Amino acid sequence: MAFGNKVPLAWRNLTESKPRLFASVAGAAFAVTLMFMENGFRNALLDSMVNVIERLDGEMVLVSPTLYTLAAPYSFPLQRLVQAGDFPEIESTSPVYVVTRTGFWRRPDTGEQVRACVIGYPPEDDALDIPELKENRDLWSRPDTAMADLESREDQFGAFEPGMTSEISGRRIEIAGTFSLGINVQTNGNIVMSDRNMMKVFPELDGPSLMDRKVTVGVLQVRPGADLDRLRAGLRAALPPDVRVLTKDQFITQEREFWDKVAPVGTVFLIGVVMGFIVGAMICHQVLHADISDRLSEFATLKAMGYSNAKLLRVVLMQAFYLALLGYGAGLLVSVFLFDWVHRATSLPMDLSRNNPLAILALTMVMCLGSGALAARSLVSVDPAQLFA
Amino acid sequence: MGFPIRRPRFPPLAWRNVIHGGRRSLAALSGAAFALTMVLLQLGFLEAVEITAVNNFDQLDFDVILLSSRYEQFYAPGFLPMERLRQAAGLDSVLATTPLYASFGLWRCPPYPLDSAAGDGETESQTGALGRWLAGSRLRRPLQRRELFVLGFDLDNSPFRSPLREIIDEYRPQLRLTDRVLLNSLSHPDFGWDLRHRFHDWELGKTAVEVVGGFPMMRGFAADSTVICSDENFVKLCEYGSRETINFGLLKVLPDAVGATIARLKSMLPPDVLVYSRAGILKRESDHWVNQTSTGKLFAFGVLVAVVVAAVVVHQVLSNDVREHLPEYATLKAMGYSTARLTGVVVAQSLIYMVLSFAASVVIAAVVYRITAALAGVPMRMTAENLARTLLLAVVVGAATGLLTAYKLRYAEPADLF
Repeated sequence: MAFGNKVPLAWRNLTESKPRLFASVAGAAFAVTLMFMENGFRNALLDSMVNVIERLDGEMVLVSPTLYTLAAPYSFPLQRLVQAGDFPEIESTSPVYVVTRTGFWRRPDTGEQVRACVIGYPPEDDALDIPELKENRDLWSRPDTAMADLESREDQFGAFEPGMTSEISGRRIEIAGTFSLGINVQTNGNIVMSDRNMMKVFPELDGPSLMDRKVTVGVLQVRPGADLDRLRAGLRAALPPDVRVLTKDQFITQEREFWDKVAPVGTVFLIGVVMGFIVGAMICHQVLHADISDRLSEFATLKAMGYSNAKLLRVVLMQAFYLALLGYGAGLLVSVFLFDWVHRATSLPMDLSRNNPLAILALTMVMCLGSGALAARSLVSVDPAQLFA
Repeated sequence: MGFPIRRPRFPPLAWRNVIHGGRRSLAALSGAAFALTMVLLQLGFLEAVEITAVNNFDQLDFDVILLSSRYEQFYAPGFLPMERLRQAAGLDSVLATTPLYASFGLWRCPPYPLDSAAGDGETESQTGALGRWLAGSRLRRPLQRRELFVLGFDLDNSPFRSPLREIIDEYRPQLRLTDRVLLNSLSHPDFGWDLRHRFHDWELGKTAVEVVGGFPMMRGFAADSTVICSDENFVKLCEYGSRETINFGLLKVLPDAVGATIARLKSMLPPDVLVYSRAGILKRESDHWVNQTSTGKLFAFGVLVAVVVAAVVVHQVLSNDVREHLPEYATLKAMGYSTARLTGVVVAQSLIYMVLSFAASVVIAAVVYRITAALAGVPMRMTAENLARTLLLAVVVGAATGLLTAYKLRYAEPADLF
């Protein structure tokens, strides 16, 4: 087959004029960028909502059956976590207390009170897999201290510096150190403190006895090799129905699904993604269509030379293929910078690698080849005689 | 030099260029139209954030509002003592005061079908946005508890504006009874408004309640549903302990004394309250949602990306078109058309394209707006400002591209033609 020498023709068609090549690739690259950005916005939203859950250091969790999103933290008694800890497969357990509505950081410079997400757990448990929290355990184990998230929105929270003192929900607290976690659509800043400090600041979490403390998430570390499904079934059978047993992955899925499908934000961003794809496809069609109509006389000549419609179509599709590759490369490059920029501007997790770069490459291919085939329709009807009309 | 004074032919050349383009013009038009639709859509998203931000205050009748110093936004208002409202009522310029109580409460959402067993959420549906919308309130779901926003108010001194005011008048006798509430008829389907005639085991918090009727209130990005009830019921259902802790203090003030009253209140009241005029709180609230939340910021970036992409696409489309017509333009030049006159034709043609694309994009966007509103349940409104912004973008990019390509025409030598 003479497939080999069609490659250069398509390639030469595309690269014949440098300004033209630039315009075509720019068009396709913008289509790719648009898809990456819309997808990125949606994923930033969903990823940010699971930022805390993903860092829980355990394979399984206990939560209240009422809890449908961590943004509205409902609790269960500490007793259940202790009961779960009796299972031989469980290596260790850690109670995590979360407050999202009543935690207020008093900004020392302005005196303003800003709502923060406050997370508490026994420092020695390392319930959150964040290096700064593990390393500085001794610092924030002290009474009336807390750790502050450096990625909290600075325009609202001001700058956090170790050693500064202010108030959290009316109680004097020293910032022992900082860590990096990240914000989300529901919270603009995070504070971590020990369970003991947490009980002092939020006495409503404490119960009549230690076992009645109101735990938001019970983190279970499972011994290596244990069968998670069997353990989960065993825990569900053993514990009363006032707790739910989930694997960490199920917990992440539940949270993402809520924000993706039930809350309106997820749907709105999904519509953005779909529109981004449509506009991207229109741009690619435009680029290829313009190119073909410009070269109609050359194509007519080829046809007069005996090229079949199928061969011409293959030339156009190869050209579309090259355009897709070049456009994708350029779009990816632009997106890397844009993602970084949006990340710095919003503090939301804009992670390109989580945006299925391969899926977007596939979509770009579909988009370019599809619009190439559509644009090639005019070739079928091209009549060599038209050349001399 | 200037343009030679000659009676313009009708229809003008630019228009005939567009019409003559046929399919090719149509392709150019649709490319630009979709790019502009993207801009309109992103602006619509941002607008929806603003609409939902101020909608709650739009339902309330007040000139001046007292808020907690911990006030963040309508759904996280913080608390203030009722005493502040009494202090404010002492001012001569204050005509009337009324408190508003607001808190999230846990609502028992009916399962669907109603007789399905009370699952523990394991059977949660995997349906996507479209499926959810198609199924509406008939989406299979287990019995679950979800939070909604509860508003409590003084029945004899209702803080609401029309139409809520009239609806409350109608239900007042029933709302006086214990544990009776009105449910938002525009709630997310999961909250069970459509099942109200067949489901009676409602619970709010730890108490069984009865839904005596409904009221329409837009839902936003923060709450999927709302319930309103009397202050007495509110205090009990939301475990406030007493009516002495309130969330909003609403004041009616003499029409010309708003500024003076705010100044007096600020100097008179302790720093645990914030005092805002109606315009002031609306501004703060939309600033919060648009500029201080991640949602608003993401939508703002969406607008930016859409504008850049649209500008590039429109430029691409127009310059392609001019390039295709280059031989014709060169011919015109050979016939003695001045560069200025050709520029006029090219720019006019670009503008015609843009206006037509804009018109098409408005139609497409109207459809996409409706889809978004139906799927996501957020208000999508095409405002005159957003239409004007998009048209301005189209015209500016159109004119700029026209001029830029016309500049290239200067070098279109008639001799090149051959």
